[in-house]
Amino acid sequence: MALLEVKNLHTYFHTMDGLTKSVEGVSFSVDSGVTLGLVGESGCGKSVTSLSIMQLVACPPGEIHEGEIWFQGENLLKKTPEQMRKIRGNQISMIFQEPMTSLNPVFTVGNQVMEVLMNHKGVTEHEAKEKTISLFHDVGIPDPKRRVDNFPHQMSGGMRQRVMIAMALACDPKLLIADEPTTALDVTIQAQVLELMREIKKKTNTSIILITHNLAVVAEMADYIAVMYYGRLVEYAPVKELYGNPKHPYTHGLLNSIPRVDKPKTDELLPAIPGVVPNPYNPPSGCKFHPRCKYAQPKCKQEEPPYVLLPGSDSHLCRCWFPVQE
Amino acid sequence: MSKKNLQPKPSKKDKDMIFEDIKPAAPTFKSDALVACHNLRKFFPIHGGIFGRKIAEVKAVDDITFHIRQGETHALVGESGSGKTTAAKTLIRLYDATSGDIYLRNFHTQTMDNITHTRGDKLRRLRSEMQIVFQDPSGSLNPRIPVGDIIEEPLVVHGVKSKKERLERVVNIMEIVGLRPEYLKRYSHEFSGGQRQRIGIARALVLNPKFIVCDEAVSALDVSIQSQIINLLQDLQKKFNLTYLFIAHDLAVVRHMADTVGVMYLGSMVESAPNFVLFNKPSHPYTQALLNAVPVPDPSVDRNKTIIMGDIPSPINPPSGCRFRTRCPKVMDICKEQIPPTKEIEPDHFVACHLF
Repeated sequence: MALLEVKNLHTYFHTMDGLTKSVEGVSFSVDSGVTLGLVGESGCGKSVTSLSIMQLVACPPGEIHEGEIWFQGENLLKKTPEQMRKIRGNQISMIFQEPMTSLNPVFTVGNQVMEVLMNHKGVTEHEAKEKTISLFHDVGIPDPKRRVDNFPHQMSGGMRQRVMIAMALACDPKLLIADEPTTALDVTIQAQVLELMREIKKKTNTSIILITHNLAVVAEMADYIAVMYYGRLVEYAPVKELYGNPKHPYTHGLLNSIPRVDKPKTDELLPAIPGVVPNPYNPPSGCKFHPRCKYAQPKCKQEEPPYVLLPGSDSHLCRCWFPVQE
Repeated sequence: MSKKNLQPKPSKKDKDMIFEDIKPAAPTFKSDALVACHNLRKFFPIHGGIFGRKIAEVKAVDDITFHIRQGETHALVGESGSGKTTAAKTLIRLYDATSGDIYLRNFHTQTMDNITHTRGDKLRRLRSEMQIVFQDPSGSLNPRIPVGDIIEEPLVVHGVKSKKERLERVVNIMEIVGLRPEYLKRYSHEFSGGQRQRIGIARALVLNPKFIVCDEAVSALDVSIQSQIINLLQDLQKKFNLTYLFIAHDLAVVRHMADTVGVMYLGSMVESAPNFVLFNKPSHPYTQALLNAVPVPDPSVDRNKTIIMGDIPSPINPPSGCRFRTRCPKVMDICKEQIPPTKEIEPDHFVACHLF
């Protein structure tokens, strides 16, 4: 049985300008010990999907309109706020993008990690501090005994992100949701943090949902990739299959259009995807990608394609009438 | 003083005189260089204590030398805090250099003129030749004025008097960067990130500059938009024979865009080389580490990763000797004592490391 199963999730926001369907009909599952990369551009609904799993969508204006989220055989959407609070930070925890704004500036970093332990594990302050020091040691913070008494502003960006990871790992979660965990970091620090996450996964068998816009980061980290566009999943496949044989024109276009550090410079222009993501209040008809798609046919304009397994494959899903043939 | 005096229209005669008070050009330049800097330093003072005296200095840029050939793109790469932006802003005279010299080609006399100490009106006219595109497209556009006025403002400042001519040039440049002229009266919040960056580029281009600094100009954009803007920049470069100083931390973009690359670490230039050489034969341990740290969007590439540990040290109190020695995997005794000299290990390939 899958550790997490999201079925037909719809999350809407009722805003002053109208209804925004941020997530529409997203379904996926994550097995134990697996890393799923959730990829997409800003506004595609990847963060809202993760916040829906954690039930951190502000209501109002947000609303989980429809769907089921099964975690270890229980539907999270049927839980009371108190029950959810026990799961959050304990069995499912989250690493956010901006470690400066997600840490409280007026408490020491040690204090903030201890709070998680004391709330969820019922340990004494002394035990919590011991455990925090050992967690800091595990995530590679040098001199952890002294560092627990630091305030966030006394630490560098990479160190703050390590604190966030220590906090997320404090209760040995089954599922770790990392929302753009390295976007704000420099490349050398990014490499350190990614290496740390790989080690943690190896050691604890935690499942990870890695949310990012960086196609290179997920290629190195994930076992499966799900690509989102305009609130929908458009393609899902094991990582090697997705990069080697992208079927949705959006995935195909993205992979072709990004400059690559392992390819020499040419004089040719990048084959960029034209246009922009459509306005959330005014969705295009049919396939939401058709206005930007170079393979679009009249059918794409009229009918939205279903999200189905490709013929002859047991794990490659795609939402397209005319998958890319190569 | 009348308004007339504030905005002198640069006649052709004036333009020739911009460079009148400057020292003779340094003799060592390649004939095709457009901008160059020699031993450039920029320190920022830190004030403290009860009298607000200078108690320390941030050595943001410490002794860098490079030149950019006309029509080419020179990229500056490095981690945050390495001094890339300060170097660029000093180069285009937004900051005054602490020491060192900056040279810009004067197309009337075809000489490299020292612009390090140009002031006043002459500096203002010089600015029309050197423009900058900023990273954050929303933070660098005034939300209260329509984009037409934003793009027009440089023309007003630089004394294009006729309203009709200004409008013509604004519309023309908007079309060139891919903005519909109907958008003239819209405000910046009505545009997407990519379009805002196009506005920033239009504003930089409207004065027909020769040299443009792109300070992380594509970093804040979404993946599919990033490639559109990269293409636009390359297209404009060909069309107008522009010279770019391209600042980026994304080495994939740099490899695609740059003709020559300079790698900065903590205010100093550790390696510089033509694109092909730098990416195929990185020589400085920091360049190697940096290239190694970049993830590749291809899961079948299984690279042997050596990850350098630690963070970039504080530029207020940089390590003695070689600044990279605290993180360097190949550190030796000499690195602690002596600052490594910059050596040309092959034509156009400069490395500052004791290994060479």
